[in-house]
Amino acid sequence: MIRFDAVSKRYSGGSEALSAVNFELGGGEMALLTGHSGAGKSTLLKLLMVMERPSHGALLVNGHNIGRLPSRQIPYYRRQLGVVFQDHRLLTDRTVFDNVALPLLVSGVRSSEVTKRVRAALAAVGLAGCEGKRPLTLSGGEQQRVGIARAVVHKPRILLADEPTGNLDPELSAEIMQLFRRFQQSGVAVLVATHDVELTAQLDCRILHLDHGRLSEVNRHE
Amino acid sequence: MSRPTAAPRRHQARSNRLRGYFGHHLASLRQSLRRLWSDRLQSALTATVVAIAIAVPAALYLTVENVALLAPPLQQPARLSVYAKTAASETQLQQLQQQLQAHPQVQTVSYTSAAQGLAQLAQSASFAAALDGLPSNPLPALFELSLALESVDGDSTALAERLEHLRAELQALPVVAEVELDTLWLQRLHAMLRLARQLLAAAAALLLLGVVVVIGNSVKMAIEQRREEIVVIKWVGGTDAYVRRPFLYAGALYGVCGALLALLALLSMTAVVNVSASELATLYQSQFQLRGPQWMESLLLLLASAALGALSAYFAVSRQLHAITPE
Ligand SMILES: Nc1ncnc2c1ncn2[C@@H]1O[C@H](COP(=O)(O)OP(=O)(O)O)[C@@H](O)[C@H]1O
Ligand SMILES: [Mg+2]
Repeated sequence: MIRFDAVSKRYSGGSEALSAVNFELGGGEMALLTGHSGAGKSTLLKLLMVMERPSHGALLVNGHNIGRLPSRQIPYYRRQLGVVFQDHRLLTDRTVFDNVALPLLVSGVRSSEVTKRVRAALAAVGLAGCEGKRPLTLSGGEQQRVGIARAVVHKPRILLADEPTGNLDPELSAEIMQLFRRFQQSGVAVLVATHDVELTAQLDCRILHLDHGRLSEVNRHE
Repeated sequence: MSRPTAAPRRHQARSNRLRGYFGHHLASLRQSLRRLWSDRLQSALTATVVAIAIAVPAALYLTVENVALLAPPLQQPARLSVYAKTAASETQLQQLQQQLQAHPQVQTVSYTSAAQGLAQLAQSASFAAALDGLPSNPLPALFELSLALESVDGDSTALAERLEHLRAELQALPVVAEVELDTLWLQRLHAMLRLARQLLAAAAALLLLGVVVVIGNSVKMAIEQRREEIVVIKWVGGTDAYVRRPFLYAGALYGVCGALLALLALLSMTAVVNVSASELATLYQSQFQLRGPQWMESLLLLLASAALGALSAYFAVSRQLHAITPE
């Protein structure tokens, strides 16, 4: 589903953030992207979101080189993605319902369908009944779960998360990771960037480690 | 997937998307209205500035049109009266007539001798008694000319100049006492109206450019306030058109509100002026009433303002969108 083929990224005027990165991630697979701060984790995710373009190499998603995706097609490509951020990026002037509904509204889904799917997504993250609340009245963990509901409401095939547990205590972090596990089991490709070593130890899944832009797969069974 | 099931499903998907599309238009309009309302002071300020920029050229336009209504239409072809000196002899008058008829800019010449003029006057009873007491005929011989001068493409400025030129030429003839150009002031007025219309068009263009800037600026500020929202919409796959739509409605609404305010101001101004106009008109036993904005003009103004507002917003959003996220 996702394939990096010798992908490098150099920011204009900066050093190389990613150098010749190779890896593959299939549907129903989950990988943790680890590494020190500044290792290039966010850069890798931004390439997948086409917020940045690779300097070299091919970045294939479902066989299409999205490194060369025409600007006009970017919105349609992004509708296959679900994205979760550390600071959840919820719109504070709207209700939880309206926040979660956004990915459906931008792709023109009918309103009866929107209601159904938003309810289902909120139920899946354990927030059924919170539709009418404002994000700021929720706890940090709840806000992050609203962010996850928004990321999966349109049933994306790829779920990307950049430090989704960064602001949460270990217990809540584990809960969030369990949620990602559930989406993985339903066939979604999940890629989670984190520098939380403890979290990495708890979970039994692939680990892709970045060190100054160089990626290596950690073999946990050695 | 077999064809018979694929086609209806695709059709269903498209009709759903269409419904979602129109749904978003409606939602965008409602959202824009709500935002204009929640930011009433700023919206009112913008609408007022837009209203002034519309009302000023519109008021000038109405003034020019009202003056044009008052001004009698130009006679075509133009006419000129040539009075001979009373001392002129019969032969001199005949020579003058031939000279006038031969002039390339003169179409017809109708001659009224001094005696004929006196006879015409005498027919009017009130003059008859007075004329009886005169020792000799005081009237000059009169040549009335219709000219082969026509305004080209309604260019009355050039026509007025040529008439003035012809008048001076005839005035210089030895037997001629006086050349009268009754319609010269009218020619001048029409020339001035023409100039006023041109100036008006230029002023209107300038002020409309101001409207574009003012609305564009308001929209720009609105975009700045909603930056976070725009970024999120783009992340979840919203197109530029989707992001732009509520701002286009906001721009159009600014235009419409401004135009409505301007119309209101114009209507009340004409109403106020018409009160004094009708007092004046009773004094002069005339029926004149100022012409205010007409239905069709008002409708056009509203539509044009809406379009201009949306266009201004379009420019503003397009410029801002590139600045917000790389893509
Ligand atoms: N927009 C940018 N322009 C220039 N350099 C950047 C930009 N974003 C990140 N970098 C640099 O790229 C490297 C990787 O950054 P990032 O991908 O954010 O790392 P991480 O998410 O692992 O902390 C860092 O050295 C960072 O300074
Ligand atoms: Mg980062």
